[in-house]
Amino acid sequence: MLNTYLQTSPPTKFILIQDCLQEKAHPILNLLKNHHHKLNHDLSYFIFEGNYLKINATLSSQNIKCHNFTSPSSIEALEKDLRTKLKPNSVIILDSLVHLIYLYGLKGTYEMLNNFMKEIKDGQQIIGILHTDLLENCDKVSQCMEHLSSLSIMLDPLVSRVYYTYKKVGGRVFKQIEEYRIEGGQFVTEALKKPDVHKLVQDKINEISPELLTTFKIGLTDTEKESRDSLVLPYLPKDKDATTVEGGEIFYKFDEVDDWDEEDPDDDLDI
Amino acid sequence: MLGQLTGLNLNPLLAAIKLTPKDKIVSVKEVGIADSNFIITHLIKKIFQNNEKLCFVTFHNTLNHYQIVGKKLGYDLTGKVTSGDAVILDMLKLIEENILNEDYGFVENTGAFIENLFRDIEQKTEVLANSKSNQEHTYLVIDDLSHLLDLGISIEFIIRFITWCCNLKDDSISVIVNNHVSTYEANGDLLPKDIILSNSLSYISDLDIQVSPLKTGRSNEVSGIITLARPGEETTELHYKAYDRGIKTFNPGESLMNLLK
Repeated sequence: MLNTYLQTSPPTKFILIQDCLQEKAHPILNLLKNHHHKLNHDLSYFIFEGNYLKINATLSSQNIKCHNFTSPSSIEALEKDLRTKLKPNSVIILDSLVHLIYLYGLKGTYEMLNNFMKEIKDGQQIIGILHTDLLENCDKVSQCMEHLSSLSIMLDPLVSRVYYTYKKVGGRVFKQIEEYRIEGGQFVTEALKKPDVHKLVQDKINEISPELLTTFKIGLTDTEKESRDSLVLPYLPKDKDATTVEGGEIFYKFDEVDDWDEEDPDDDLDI
Repeated sequence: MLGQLTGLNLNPLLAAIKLTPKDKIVSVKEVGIADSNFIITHLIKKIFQNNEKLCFVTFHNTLNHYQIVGKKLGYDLTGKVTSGDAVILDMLKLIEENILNEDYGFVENTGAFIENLFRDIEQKTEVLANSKSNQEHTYLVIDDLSHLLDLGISIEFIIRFITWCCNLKDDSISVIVNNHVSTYEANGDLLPKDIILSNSLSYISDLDIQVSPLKTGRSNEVSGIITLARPGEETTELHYKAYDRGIKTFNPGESLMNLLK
């Protein structure tokens, strides 16, 4: 499950979250923030986009230290800042990697992150947010960043699925697809369920049921069917034990060649 | 009926937008053949009626156009410039002068052009900040940002420029940015630049206004659709009808009822 990989101990070194406008990375970030707060880890948020003061005001109340990278600075200065903020049990969030790439180029960003990754020790973590809809050639950048990451997460809001790749320290790689939903602001994932064939067939039958096509009632409930079956028509012979009624009586004699129509007249309705 | 549209409190468009100084970044997106210029002119009207300051960067229309529209809506843009409540960076005029002087630096060195533009904005907003009282708010309005792409400026520089504008020294500045996107399909695997630009604004905006044409085609009763989105809130969709002196908005399906009033 994705939640297990997000909350491993020691933490996964580099988590890459690939989001889009329709489903932003915030629910996953909130999950990670809560997890690190519980463990008393230091969270540093490197802001490259938007209004720094407004974001800082929101995040400071959540006990997250913000660092302003919205004004011009060189990649060397950024690398130096990253190193000074990287202390034992610290987590650095880069929001967003696209802005970093636009500032320093893909090559520069990759090299800087690659050098930085070599220095990361157990207990430290980097979280990078990559907005996939801000890149002309998203696949190329995505592949480069996935190569660096230990856990790469991609959200697809169209089908509510999350695709992730987790690289174990030993070298094993897990690729999974899970369903996700946001429940009360919480990011919840669950394994894809194999559909039950019988249920699918039954659903399909129910779909074409005339009951669903009409605005009036066609079928009978079990009680109504029972009531119909228990009704004895007056012209049919009754049980011998039944008390005879004084007066006139109808005797119905079936023809030798039966004229009784046993076919259901509503058979063609497929009820 | 249209007389009602000129009052600030009764203006249905401004009442629907509900712009507040807390909205630090406002993105106004026009889709396809729709024209979102009326949103900008209405927001300027609100800025002046609240006695707030304006730094206006124009790429889309001439200053004369904004003056005429302003007069129709009930404000005097050049008068506000004279009184020191507004400053205008007329980029159309600047580019025209550069071409006349055979100075093509703005296409040859786009990085320097964008940096100079930002320095100008920074300087003008500082002048406005120095002249205002503590309570006043300043708005930087850019109409429209997509024309930077037309000048051949790369998306990297434009995104950098947006970030700088959103983080000006004076923290009482809000930024209103107009941009337009085409409805054409993406070219192969590459995402069109106008979409990237628009998306980058949508990620950071506190208020995202989208003006688009009707999906069903043309209509005499409805000019188009306005979509208002704020992060964490439900999106509001309104239909609008554009008149010479104002805009009337109504909920989808209510257009006929409004016209009969």
